[in-house]
Amino acid sequence: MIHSHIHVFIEVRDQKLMDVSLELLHEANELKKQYKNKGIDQKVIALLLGYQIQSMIETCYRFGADEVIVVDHEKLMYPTSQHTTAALVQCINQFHPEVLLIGATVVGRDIAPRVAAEVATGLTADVTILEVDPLENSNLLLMTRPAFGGNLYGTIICPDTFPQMASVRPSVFIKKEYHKPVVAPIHVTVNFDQNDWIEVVQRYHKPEQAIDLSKAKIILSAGRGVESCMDIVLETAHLLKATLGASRALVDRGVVSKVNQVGQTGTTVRPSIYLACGISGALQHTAGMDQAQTIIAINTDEQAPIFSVATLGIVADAKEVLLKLKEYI
Amino acid sequence: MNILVLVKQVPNTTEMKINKEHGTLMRQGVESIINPDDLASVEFALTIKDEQPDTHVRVISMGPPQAKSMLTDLYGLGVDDCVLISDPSFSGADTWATSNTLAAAISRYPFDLILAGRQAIDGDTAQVGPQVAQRLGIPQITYVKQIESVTSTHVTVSKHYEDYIELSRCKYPCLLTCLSEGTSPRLGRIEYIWRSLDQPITVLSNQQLQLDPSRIGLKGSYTKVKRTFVRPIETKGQMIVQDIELAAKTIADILKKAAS
Amino acid sequence: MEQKYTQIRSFASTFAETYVKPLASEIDEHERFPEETVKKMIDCGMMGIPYPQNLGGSGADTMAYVLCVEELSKVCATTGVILSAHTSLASYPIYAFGTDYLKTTYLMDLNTGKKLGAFGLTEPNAGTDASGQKTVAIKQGDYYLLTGSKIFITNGIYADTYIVFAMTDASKGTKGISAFVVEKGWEGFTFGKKEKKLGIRGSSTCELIFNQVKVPKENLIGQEGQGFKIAMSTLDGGRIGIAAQALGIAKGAFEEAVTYTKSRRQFNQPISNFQHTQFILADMATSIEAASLLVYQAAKAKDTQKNFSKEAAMAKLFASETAMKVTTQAVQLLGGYGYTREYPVERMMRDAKITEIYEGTSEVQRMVIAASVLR
Repeated sequence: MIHSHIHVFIEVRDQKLMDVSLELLHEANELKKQYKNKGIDQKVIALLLGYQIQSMIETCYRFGADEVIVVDHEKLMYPTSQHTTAALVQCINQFHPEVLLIGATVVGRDIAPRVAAEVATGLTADVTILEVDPLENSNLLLMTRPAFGGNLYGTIICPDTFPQMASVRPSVFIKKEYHKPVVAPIHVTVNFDQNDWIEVVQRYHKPEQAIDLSKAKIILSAGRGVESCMDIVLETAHLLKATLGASRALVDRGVVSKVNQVGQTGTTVRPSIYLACGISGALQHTAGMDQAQTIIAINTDEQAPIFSVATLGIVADAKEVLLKLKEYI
Repeated sequence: MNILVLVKQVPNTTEMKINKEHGTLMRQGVESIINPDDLASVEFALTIKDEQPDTHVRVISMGPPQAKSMLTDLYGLGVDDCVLISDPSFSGADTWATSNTLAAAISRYPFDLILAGRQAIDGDTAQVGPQVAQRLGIPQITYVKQIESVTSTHVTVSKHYEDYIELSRCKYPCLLTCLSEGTSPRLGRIEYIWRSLDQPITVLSNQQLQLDPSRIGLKGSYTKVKRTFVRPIETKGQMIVQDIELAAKTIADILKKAAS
Repeated sequence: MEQKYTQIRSFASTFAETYVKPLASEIDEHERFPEETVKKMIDCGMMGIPYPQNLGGSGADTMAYVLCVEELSKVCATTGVILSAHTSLASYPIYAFGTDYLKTTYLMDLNTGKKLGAFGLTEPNAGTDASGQKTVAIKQGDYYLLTGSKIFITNGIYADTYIVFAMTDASKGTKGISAFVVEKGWEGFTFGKKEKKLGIRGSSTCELIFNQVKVPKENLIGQEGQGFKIAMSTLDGGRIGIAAQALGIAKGAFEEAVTYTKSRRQFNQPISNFQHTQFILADMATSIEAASLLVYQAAKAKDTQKNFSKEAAMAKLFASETAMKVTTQAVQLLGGYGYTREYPVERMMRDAKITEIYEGTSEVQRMVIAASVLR
């Protein structure tokens, strides 16, 4: 059996195409280049599953698909573990992909394992780095992913079975317009089991989420030094998709709510990035954040204790730095 | 009603520290805990048992013999039975081989509902639940935040997507993977804890399960770990003094690097 | 320590960290009884730890109960005494001396947590000298008419079931005292002054007032005239609970002191580097260790049904004085911070004091111990 080409599952929910699928089309093109350097020709093939998705075929070509395979069925209006799995399994059995990439969305993480088990192949979850093995004697896909809460990275291979499957974390890669020539897509008909496993009683939007500092990946934390420019702090936090943190001093002064307080008497945090603005860094504060992966501290006082735990220390007015930072984002 | 809960003992990754000087992971002294999403599943099962006392809750775990201490703790919460799948030949398994093994053990017991955690905090794959469901040929609902109702034939749950929620109903048998967010697991009851050490834990090795050695453990895994490494840590103490332009640019670079 | 006790301690410690510690400062500040914590204790089956399962209890033992009081008190002495007064003072006399009727009617509900218990012995003029009881119970047909008042009653207005001591025959002195089970809500039973206290400020302490309260004769515990014996026997056990509370307070303050002295830097080094600090910490640790041995010895003695008056008195005497000493030293080690309410050690110091006073002052413990060694 010959397995070829890089297939990308295009996730569509209620006729809305998910960004991660377009990101994967671009990444598939990057892999295609790497294969090409090894003398292997691979096509980027979009597996477009949904209902009344005619208009999205063009989008796939625009964002980098060489070919598009379409399964258009009412049951696929919203992806389901039953129908989406069945459709993907049929595509795999029909087209024998060498690589299959799936966005690690709630949907992707639901169906990818089931599909992999169904076709008896390996699956690597939540991949953040994809690469074709640079070694001469191997053409395997190297799938690198974080484990142990992001403390450790592992590079995984799937040496004996096909497709080599990965679910890929959203927003890790960028999408890019290719405007590839539009060719007629291949339509696949799937006969689903008559009985639906699951009955969706209701579907509704999520209410606003309460903030949880302990789980935040990026924290922009404010201290007395930025009390006068909280508007800029909040705007920057929004821009960086960061959660707002604060020193006890600022909370005690009623500028910021207690739920935002970082430190011994507040929340202990360990984000990947902690950006401390105008915080001097009393022990009671640093004890709650010194396990952050990267600590950036901005303070006008060169002697501020916060600099002793900082990965990057910036001696300057935090307001000016934040204003300048906006230009770079 | 019979509920099976799949649980895993994991290192407490939030306690794990990185030696920033050597760029290594410090695992010594890190305690082993029950995986948080799995504990939420146990809580869901026991909540059902609170309301329907004839419910039988059986916990199944796969891991080394040390995992028995976790199962003893679960007896302290009030589960009815604990099973540990343990055999050196099962170790090193990827999610596929793990699911094969779990499915074989599960088939020995009656069940209406199987509950599992969404994902384990050590591997973070979220694959074992769905793959067990596939091996057993039963429906799955993943990302369950709440079990809304349980009848003699159906379970209704709310499943959380990124931006919306589905209220879904499914007939038994089925498998749910549960989220820990928002649950506050019980801590146990004194009378259960007092008895917990005397409760038997069934250990299943491959002598009982009789699985083909080529389908279990490291040998039975389709994926292999080629290498592992620790994320390089920025060296501590780079200082930028009064250069706003450079400061902003450096911060932006760090942010971009972190996003990739 | 046996593994089952390790399991119990681990549970109690998690319970304390999860539910009790977050409230400790606030209930002290606002003198608020933590009803939500009691609800959680009920959910966890903590209200009848040493009593049999057929009476609604957990079927564990005094040692397990002591470990729970200790772990609770480590983070909040108020919560520790709520459990101690309920288990040792209210449930015990019914368990040890009550009829089957009293056990099924009252002990069952106390053990499951459906009812909270309290114990009323002390009166304005009858503290250490219990024979000065002014509360009287006069038998009239199927009832006793109870009149008088009790003060400093722990769990005060939040309890449902009260063990009340009263004179049934004043001419016999302590031999004329009898014990009764009294329910909240009975006609003539009201609450008086709510005390404002130095410590354990979340605990409800108030006066019970009885005005011609009709107590059914079935609610007499034991025989008429056995009240003093019942009270003394109950207090022997209660002292182990208070000793455990004191031990917990001392351990809590010690942990705070260790954490602080390791992180507080003066003269460019952690103050734990200074030998003075080290010597104080060493003395604290040694006293705590000694106290714990006495407390666990007393618990074991009670579990093995030996006479344990002396062991209980020694445990309470030593543990409570250790608590006072250790908490005072902890405040000193934390300096200005220790004196503020930002840190818990000042609260622990205030809480510690009561352990030298209630359920027999340190002086009473010395009397008990002396009587035993001079026998």
